[in-house]
Amino acid sequence: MSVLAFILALVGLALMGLSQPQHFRWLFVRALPEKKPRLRGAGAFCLGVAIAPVAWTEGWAIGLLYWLGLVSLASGALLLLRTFLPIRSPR
Amino acid sequence: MNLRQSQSLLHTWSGLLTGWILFTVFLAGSLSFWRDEISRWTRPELLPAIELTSALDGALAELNRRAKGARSWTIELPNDRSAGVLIRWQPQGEKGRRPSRRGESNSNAWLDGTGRPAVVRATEGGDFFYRLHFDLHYVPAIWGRWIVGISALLMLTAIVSGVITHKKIFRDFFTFRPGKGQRSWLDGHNAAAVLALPFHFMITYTGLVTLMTLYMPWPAHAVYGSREALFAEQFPKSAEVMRTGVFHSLPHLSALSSEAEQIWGGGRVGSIRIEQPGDTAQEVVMRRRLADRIVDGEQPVRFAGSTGTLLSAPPRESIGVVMRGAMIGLHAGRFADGALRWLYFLSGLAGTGMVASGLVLWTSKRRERFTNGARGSLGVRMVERLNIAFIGGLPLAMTGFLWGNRLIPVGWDDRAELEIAAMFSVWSVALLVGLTAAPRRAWTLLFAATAFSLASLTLADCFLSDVGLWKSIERGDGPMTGMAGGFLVFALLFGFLAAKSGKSVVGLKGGGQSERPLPPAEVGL
Repeated sequence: MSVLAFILALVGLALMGLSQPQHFRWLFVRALPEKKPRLRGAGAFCLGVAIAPVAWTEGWAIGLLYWLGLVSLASGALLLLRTFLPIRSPR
Repeated sequence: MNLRQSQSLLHTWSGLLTGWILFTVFLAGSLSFWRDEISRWTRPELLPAIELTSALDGALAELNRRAKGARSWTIELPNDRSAGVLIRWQPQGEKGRRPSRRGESNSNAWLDGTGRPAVVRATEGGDFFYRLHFDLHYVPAIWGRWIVGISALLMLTAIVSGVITHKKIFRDFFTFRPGKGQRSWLDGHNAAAVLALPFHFMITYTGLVTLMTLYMPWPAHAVYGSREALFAEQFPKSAEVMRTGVFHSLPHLSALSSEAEQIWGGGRVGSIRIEQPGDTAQEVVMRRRLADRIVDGEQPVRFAGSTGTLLSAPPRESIGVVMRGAMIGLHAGRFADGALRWLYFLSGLAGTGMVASGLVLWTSKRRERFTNGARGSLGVRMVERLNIAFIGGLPLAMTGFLWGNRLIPVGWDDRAELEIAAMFSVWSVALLVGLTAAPRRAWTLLFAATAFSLASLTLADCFLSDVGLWKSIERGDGPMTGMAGGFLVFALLFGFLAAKSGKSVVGLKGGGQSERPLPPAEVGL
């Protein structure tokens, strides 16, 4: 279940990141520099839902701790991906 | 000066003045999440096979042989992560002294998991790093706690002021620009701080709460009259058991353990204390494992040893006691299983990285003002040298402790102290290197030495002990395989750092071009 929570957190954070123009244009070089509120909403939803699997198995108190830790881990993983994935940056 | 600038100033100086203490506290604290595993690694004579009933029987027989007529006996049982049974005893007339856990001595001994006596090397093991992270060493414990407490308070200040200072906290969330000198250090510092921000805040705040009655004794004085009175009321102790001199057989601990576990509602026994053993007045106190729940508390259950009658169950805990216990439990993370423990550990390392990158950033900012071979001010040079001694030196010194554990002969007197002396000796050499060698050379040398030390330790341990990599894999011993694997991973990490620092001076520009100078409010004044 913690793997599922990690994946949901990763997807949620990725979507929230892509809602920002500078990250969206990293993947889609020719996109217009505009914010993507729907992506931000979907990302926030995934990020929130990520607590469900760990709260289900561990209870709310430990589940919340798991969730916070997994969100930190997922954001670190995305930071490394964003930094070192060989995609040409538009800047 | 606007709010952001004033917070930046506060962030910079509260972080800098306590940075080296905080680096030590964070690194040793992170290792303390593996306290039991490190203790197992440092006592390779003990294997994890556990047979609880025979361990209890063996412990009673051994205590009866070694400490008949003692004032009390204590049996500390192994948990899922440790190995061996520690037995301790207090002779008659000796009161209140808690013997240390340094293997065999006059008042304690180790048994293997099946209750047979074991010859175990004297070592502080993982307890050393645990104590180091809040007591420090070579200073009285109370001083150490005050120093660490003041540092933690300033850390909390640095966290809050850092959040206010960081203008683009969401925009920069996934931003790391390597090879851009000062900008890279700032990105790294921000990433390490922001990505695990809830952990940093939680661990610092709960760390202060752990020793709150030391730092803020006045509420206890106002309500209870003294700290001692507060603890006497909230954590009452039973009256001393007096010896009658009439013999009685020893109690059946297995049955009493089951009864205590029923009272706790599923908790397991962590330690057993028998007061006045072998006497008709004997009493048995069962304490639960701290790993059973978030709230830290042993909930002692007391039985009459001669009859097995329940004398006292744990009192109902007040909300204040539960809150305090929950804060301590959150800080220590004893309840955390494998995955959550890893998250604790990684977040702790992120905190260590945050402090280290903040310290280097301070010199990096100032070093860029002293180009063309200028040496920089005395303050900058001093901070730079101390950074080398702590950030480069402490990890190397910790490997010195591990090497000391393997190389100091088992039979030597005071070998536990010698292991610690080995660590501080290596650290002193690292300080000398930091003070005398050119910064680039010193960073590279210390990182490379740490990498070599860890890699060679893993290799040598295959021949020096039964918890080396191959033997642990063969035995299916996950924790010890993890320890050896962890050494190799960190050897690679430090090798990488040595290679990187060889190419660019840490604190100066990286391989690429530096961007425009950062505004003071963004990087700290």
